Amino acid sequence: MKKLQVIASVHEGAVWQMKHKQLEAAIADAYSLILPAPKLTMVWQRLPAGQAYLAGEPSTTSTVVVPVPNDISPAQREQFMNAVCQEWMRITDCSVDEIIVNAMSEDYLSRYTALSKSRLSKKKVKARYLGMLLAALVKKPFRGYLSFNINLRS
Amino acid sequence: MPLYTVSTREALDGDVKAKLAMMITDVHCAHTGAPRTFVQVYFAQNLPLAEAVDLNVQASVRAGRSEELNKQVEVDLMQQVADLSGISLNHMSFSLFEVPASWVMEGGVILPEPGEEAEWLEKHGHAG
Repeated sequence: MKKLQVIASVHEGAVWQMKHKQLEAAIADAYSLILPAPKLTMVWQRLPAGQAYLAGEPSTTSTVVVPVPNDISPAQREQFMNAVCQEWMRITDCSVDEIIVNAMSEDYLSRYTALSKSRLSKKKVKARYLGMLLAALVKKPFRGYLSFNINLRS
Repeated sequence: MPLYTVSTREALDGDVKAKLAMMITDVHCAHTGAPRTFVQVYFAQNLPLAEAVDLNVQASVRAGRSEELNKQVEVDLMQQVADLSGISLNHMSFSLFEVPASWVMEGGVILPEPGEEAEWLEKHGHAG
């Protein structure tokens, strides 16, 4: 069974918090278009107010990174992204301009993650990520979802 | 896309973040011709950045532009980030990550390749 981590960058306090279970289920359903029953981990990256902009103005747009196999066909990738986009709009009632879907190939996502980590102190990065992950896991039963904010705090 | 993530060791003032977001949008669009509605800017703060770095910009952009153009964006953008933030260029770092346009859906449609924005906008339209 393939293991994949989906990362949704969303605004703190927005509608996703009430709909996260439906959104997670819908994304899992969309994956059935391209993969047989992958094991998904959904991570919600919260964007505090004043820390996200689109077109130079405060943003209300969510971005979902949904990793896909490296060898997926362009048609499958587009069909999958369309399914995620349509379901996100249906569940959250957002406009088509408020959802961005990035179906990044797995190898690219690994490189992107490594690049993000490379901006941090080598001495401190492990402790920071470990602290964030532990706090996110402890809070998960109360929140109902796995989450951290863009400042790498849970 | 693009997504510019500005990471800092300490939090920037709200008005500085707003000015940086506008400036980054202006610079990216002026050099590349991309529609403003494509440009996202995130701020991450209070991060344990690499030694001697107080501000990092990570740019995730559509693949397909020349190295020279990407470098022009970087140089112009980082100089203006320094001016607005008050952080020395010597204490900043920049990284670029290119992603195929066809892997990203915005406004319900696949993004155009760099240079094909006008046709794309005519066909699909876009807010803003």
